[in-house]
Amino acid sequence: MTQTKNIRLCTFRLGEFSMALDVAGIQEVIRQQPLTPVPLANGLICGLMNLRGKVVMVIDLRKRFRISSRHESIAGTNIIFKKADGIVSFLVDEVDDVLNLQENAIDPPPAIMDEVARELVRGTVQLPRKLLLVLDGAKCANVSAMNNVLRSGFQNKQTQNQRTVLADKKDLKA
Amino acid sequence: MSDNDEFIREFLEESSENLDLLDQDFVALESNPDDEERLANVFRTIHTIKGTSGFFNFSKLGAIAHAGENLLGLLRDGTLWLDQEITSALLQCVDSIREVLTQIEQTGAEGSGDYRALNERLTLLAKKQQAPRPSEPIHSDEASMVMENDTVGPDPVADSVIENQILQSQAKEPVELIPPVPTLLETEVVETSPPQEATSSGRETHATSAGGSVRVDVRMLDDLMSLVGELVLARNQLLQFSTTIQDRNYQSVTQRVNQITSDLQEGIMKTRMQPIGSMWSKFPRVVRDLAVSCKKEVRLVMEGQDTELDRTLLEAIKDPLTHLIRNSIDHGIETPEQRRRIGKNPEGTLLLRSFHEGGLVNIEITDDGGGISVERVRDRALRQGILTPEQSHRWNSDELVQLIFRPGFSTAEQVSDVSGRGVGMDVVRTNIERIGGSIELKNHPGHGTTVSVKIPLTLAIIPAMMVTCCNQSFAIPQASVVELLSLCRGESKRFIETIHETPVVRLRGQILPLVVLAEQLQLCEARDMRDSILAQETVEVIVLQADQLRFGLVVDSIRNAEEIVVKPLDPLIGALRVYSGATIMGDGNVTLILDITGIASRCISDADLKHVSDAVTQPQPTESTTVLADASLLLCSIDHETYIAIPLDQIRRLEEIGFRDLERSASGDVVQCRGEILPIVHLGRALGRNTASSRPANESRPLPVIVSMTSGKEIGLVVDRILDVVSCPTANRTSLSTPGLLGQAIINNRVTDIVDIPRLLNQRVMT
Repeated sequence: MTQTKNIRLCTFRLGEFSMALDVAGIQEVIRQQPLTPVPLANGLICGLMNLRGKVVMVIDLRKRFRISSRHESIAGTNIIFKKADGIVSFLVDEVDDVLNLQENAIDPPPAIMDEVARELVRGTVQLPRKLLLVLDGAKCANVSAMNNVLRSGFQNKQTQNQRTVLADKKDLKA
Repeated sequence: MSDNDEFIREFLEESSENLDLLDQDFVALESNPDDEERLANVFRTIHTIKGTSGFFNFSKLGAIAHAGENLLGLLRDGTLWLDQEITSALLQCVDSIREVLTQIEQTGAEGSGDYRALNERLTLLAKKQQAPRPSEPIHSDEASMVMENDTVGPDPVADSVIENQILQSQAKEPVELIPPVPTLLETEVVETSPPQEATSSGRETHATSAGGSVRVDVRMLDDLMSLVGELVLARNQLLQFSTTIQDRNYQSVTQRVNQITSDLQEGIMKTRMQPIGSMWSKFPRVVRDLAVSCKKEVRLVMEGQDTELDRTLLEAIKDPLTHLIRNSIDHGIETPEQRRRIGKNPEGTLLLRSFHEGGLVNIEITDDGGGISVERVRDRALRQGILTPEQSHRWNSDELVQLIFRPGFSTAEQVSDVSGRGVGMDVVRTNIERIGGSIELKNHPGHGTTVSVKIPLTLAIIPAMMVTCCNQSFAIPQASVVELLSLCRGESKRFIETIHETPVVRLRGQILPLVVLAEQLQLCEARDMRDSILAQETVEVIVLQADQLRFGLVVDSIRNAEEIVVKPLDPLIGALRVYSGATIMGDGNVTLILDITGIASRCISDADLKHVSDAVTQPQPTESTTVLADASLLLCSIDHETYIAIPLDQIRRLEEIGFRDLERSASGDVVQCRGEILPIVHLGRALGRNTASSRPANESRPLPVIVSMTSGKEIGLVVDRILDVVSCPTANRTSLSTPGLLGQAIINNRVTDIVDIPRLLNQRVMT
């Protein structure tokens, strides 16, 4: 019955991927702001920003998906996402467009995807030129695993176990 | 079904609003039983509750209200008159109704409470043969005064609405699983409407709709507040920009934006403020109940109910104030017989007074009771081991009286239900200090006591110390800062030692464990980084007190003290227990506020440091600090040959000023310091030692200034040189009758005068 529902997706780029979030969960989109790093926090949290007097935590989605970190030349954009207990910002490369489509156009995430990625991806949409990954915003915002990271020595150990999602997804594309 | 629920909700809301007013009405009625209008109001409220509960089939509620109404009916008709017994029964009736209402709100049913005994009591009272009423009510004069004080207070409607709100949100919590965070409570923004509205006419209508007020969530106000904060930043940038543009229209627009922003900021600040009277309105009932249970006669006088302060603070001081009032009635005010015997009015007076002074809210609680017996405090403290015999001789009565703030202290001869368990005053003090306030007690044996509580206007702004570490700024709340140390190379080599791999420094005979912030926050990777930091030319240490542990935090540099606005952090970051919040600096950047208690507990979990901290805290964990404070002296010189020492606890901070910064005013030398005028006293001249020119040989050398407090004001004392902080066992001191001096002691093989700053300055004022 939800199949026929209309859905509006905000699409953005992250590395060479196209991803999207439901517009309903997004408060606003603003360009990259000066960040204050939070020592000891999970490496996924790239800092705190000042959103008109509110202190907002910024999560780097590249790190979330274990994609190599952003080149300095890419400015970055904040997508301010409304989660259950406040707001959080997702740092992405660039926001593209808003797509209107039917809920049933979203396919379940393919089984061959990396476990971490599949956790965060709600589904995929097959667009003419590219494959769109529709994210589950609440799950992306849930980075409470920070203490595990802490114990394992905190500084970006993720780079070591870069069991690249990339490779998996290239398979997908092919 | 849902329609019915809606009606019930409305009924509950309205009833609990009205019940809160009843409390005040009864207390007023008891002292002034002739107020027919009030009596009619009370009757009407109970009657409405009875009628509505019949409609919704709440039989228990109906029965209670019915019994109460019967009794009230007789009172209204003049068959009975309102004596203490009846008032108590009726108040109990109101409490029971409130209980049942809360039950209904939470569970939808009346609950299992048994109110038959109460109903019987009410019925019995209605049938009772009452002694004829005294022709002239004894308290009517004073009573009307109390009443006046009552009515000039803030709008009782508003209060009850707020109370109702609180009741509701508390009641809802278990259902909706809202965490009990005080800011989640809704507040009420009310235009203060004239008090008349609170009486008969406004009562029957739905109270919330009166006065055109709107309920606003506190979070919404917080949001608006931070937006305005941002607007102020943007405005500042705009103003800076406007100086470069020579366009008249542009200039006038910026001026207008400037003006509007300021007004807006002020307005938003005001919405969070509430008159203190909204909380005080509960006290007449509290005082009445206590006076009855202690068999005392007490008249409550309230002054300055319209003094405004932040809502969250209002909540925070409610319990401490109630406790202080209890203390005054239970311990302070004597029984009527005792009072008559010593020629006092048998009715004791309790004065609640509040006013703004020096950017703080002052609240005074004064009673005209017996005061505190200094001898009893001393004996009790000696027996409980809080005081040493040596101290008991040296301390004056003011100092001894302050002992009542020590944990575990109580002078009550016997424990009553009201007070005397010795968990009182120290908890009051802790609670007041937690919100950045202070508490002071003035004792007039035989004539009563005055407790003054000073609290800041708002909690959202705290003083903090700004530090940097690895190029990042952090804020440390001033409340946990004990002192700042700067260890220079020569000294640091001498001072920094290692116990169990933990660096420590010996500070006045105490071992102070050092925590390197860069290492704790893992801002640097290699472990030997710590050694290189500690080997620096100067090591900046902030001595911090967190619960039981005192430790030194090593940072790169200590910048300045600043008033910061505390912003909440995402719970995910809060869970780290390293940061207690964040703040936005003038340039718009975010700065983290360190959670000192959290950092301390992280360090303690480090087994190494635990060892050290045990060693440090073992010998009398709480006592050690006071012994230290007693014996530490700041050693300085006032000219080339005279050394003096000043007890550290008389010193607020040290400053340096240039000789040319000194300005002359009619009242003496002053200097501008942190935007305020600091009066300057040349200590050498004040001691009559240095009559020669105060002009130093080298004018470019900064003058060291010791900032001290005297009668609530800061004062700067110029000395020649500040030499050291020494600890001097009190036994070494000799008492001296010279005014302004505490005594003399041998420090570093020199006879040194120990100066008593407050006395010296007082004496100076007199001559």
